[in-house]
Amino acid sequence: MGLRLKPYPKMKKIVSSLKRWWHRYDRLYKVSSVKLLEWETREMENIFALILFGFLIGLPSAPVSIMLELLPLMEDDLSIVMERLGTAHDPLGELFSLLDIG
Amino acid sequence: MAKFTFFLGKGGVGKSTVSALAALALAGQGKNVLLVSLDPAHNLSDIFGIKFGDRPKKIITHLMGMEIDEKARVKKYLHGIETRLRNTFHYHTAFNLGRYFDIIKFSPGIEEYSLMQAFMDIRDRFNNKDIILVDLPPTALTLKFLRLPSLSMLWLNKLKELRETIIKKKEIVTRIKFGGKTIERDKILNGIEELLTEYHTINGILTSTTDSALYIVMNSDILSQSESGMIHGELEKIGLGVHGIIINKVLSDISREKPIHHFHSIAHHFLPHSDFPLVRTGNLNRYLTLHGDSTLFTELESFI
Repeated sequence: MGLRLKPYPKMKKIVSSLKRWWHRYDRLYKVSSVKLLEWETREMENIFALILFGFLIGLPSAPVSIMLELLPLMEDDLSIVMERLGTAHDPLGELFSLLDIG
Repeated sequence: MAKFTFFLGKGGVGKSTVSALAALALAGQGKNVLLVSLDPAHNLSDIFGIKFGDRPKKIITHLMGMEIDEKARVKKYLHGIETRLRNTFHYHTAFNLGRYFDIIKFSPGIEEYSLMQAFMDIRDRFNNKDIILVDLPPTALTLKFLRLPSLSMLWLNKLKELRETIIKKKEIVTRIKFGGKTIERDKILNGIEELLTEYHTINGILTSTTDSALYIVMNSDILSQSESGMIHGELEKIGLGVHGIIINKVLSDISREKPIHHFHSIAHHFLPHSDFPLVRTGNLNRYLTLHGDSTLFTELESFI
């Protein structure tokens, strides 16, 4: 059941500004939480690729047969690994900048 | 559906000779038999005096033989992967693949995977046979080959779990950013599921006691016994049972032979030493005339 605000125009104004404020607040936090979730997903994709291609950098990895069968499907994942190599020296720095710390 | 019988054991115990004798005995009973050597150091050509290759050749009526060309299969397989990569990757990513694949063919694991592919290929192409007898390579490679399906399934299940978590997170991000927009099915997850199905099928054949039988071939000497005990232990670890033990080249009266203590619960089959060389069909048939009543041949016949 909706509120009957017609007789109170001031109240209507307050509610709509509250709504606007809430939407802005919601968008702001959604953006930052999605950023964090995207970062986490990218990290997991990096780990996934490292499990398969870890032998290239001396890590124990899945049987080479699995790696070869999945390799043609993994161009994007390989790009993530290559990209991560650039920031691998400072993972905490990347995380702190994402969380806006410091 | 064709049944599989595998002969494994230490190098030099007579796996190829035993599999050749079994193949001739079964073909002599009118069974449709394919004899395959998966051993990279093939012996079947020398035994039968026929140059076998990757395609089956007739030995006698009801019996065909083939030797897997493992190197050619690895080359063909890697070429297939390279072509798929060149078709799916951007030009600059795929640019230096040739050199990379030249190295990959020496990677650990390629040899057994190539044998497994050969095994699947044989299963698909010769399913109309009554029985397919497989002469396996010596212990190290054979164990790697037999372990591959269960080990790969272990990895694939973990990779599947991780991939599903990634997909779930991606879906949440898409839902928040783009509302109800559906994302297309993950091709990597598809690939993992396809591989799981393939390995599951192979493992099913290897572990089935009605579709396949594993025989350890050995001699009476201590080294052979000890290695066979190790093979049995390793097979148990991956859930593969041994159908029978074949003690080949027995010098004494076989009626006096006793089961070997490592394998007291497994059926023993004794094959006497031959005074004449077991090469060419004529000599092998002569041996079968003398010793064709061995329990091995009757057991194999009833297995089909």
